[in-house]
Amino acid sequence: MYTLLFLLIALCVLATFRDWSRRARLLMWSATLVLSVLAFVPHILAHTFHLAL
Amino acid sequence: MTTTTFPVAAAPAARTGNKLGLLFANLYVLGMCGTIGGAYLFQFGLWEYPCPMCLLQRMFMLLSALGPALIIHRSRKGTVTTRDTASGWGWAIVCALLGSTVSITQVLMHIVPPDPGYAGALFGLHLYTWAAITFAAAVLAAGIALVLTHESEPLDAATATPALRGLGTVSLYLLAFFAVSNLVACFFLQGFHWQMPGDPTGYAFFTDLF
Repeated sequence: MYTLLFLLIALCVLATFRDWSRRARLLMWSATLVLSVLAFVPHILAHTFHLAL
Repeated sequence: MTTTTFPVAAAPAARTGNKLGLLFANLYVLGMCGTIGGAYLFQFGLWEYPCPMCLLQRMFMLLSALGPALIIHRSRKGTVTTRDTASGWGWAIVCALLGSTVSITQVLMHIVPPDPGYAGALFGLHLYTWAAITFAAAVLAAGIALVLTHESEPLDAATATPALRGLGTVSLYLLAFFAVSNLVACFFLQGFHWQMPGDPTGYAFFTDLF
């Protein structure tokens, strides 16, 4: 899963350096960012912090 | 039918502020790459394997660096519009803020004694703590760059001195290097498993193979 995320990030770098259209580049960047955030969510849900927040 | 032409305003000449703005973008990218490089020292020098949250923080650092990298790339080709400059720095802030939530979460995970923290420490602080500091500094830096956009936007290709142009080449190549090398390293770390253990003890690709 994390390998795929890094692959998407590499594609984001490619989108930047290869002058993709603004729409395509932002779509690529945003999708990668959202998926990265989603990959982080299970770490919060699965962990008990033992903190009085 | 007669064609009406309107005089086009000449592009403003680059001033020191514009050059400093371009330098700042380079330093931002280099700063993010340098932080990941420090993590590489722990991973490949001390054989301390990055956990899934460590990898997530690297991802957000790479994503955050994309904004200033776009500014640098555009400045090498031609005109950098104010729109590109502002959205580049704004993107950097969004990614750095999201990355900081990962770092702070990891700090909170290990903050209750007697938890020793995950992996080694550098000058008394664990790497995720340094990452949280890096993200906070990145948000501040990108915010300042946004405020000073009018004075510091790179304008166009004529802004860069030969040294700045060379620095831009280094910055962009370094970002590409860390993006690709993290992909390769993560593939070997995770192997063909969909999930990674919270405390990896080796490169799963090789341990599964042999």
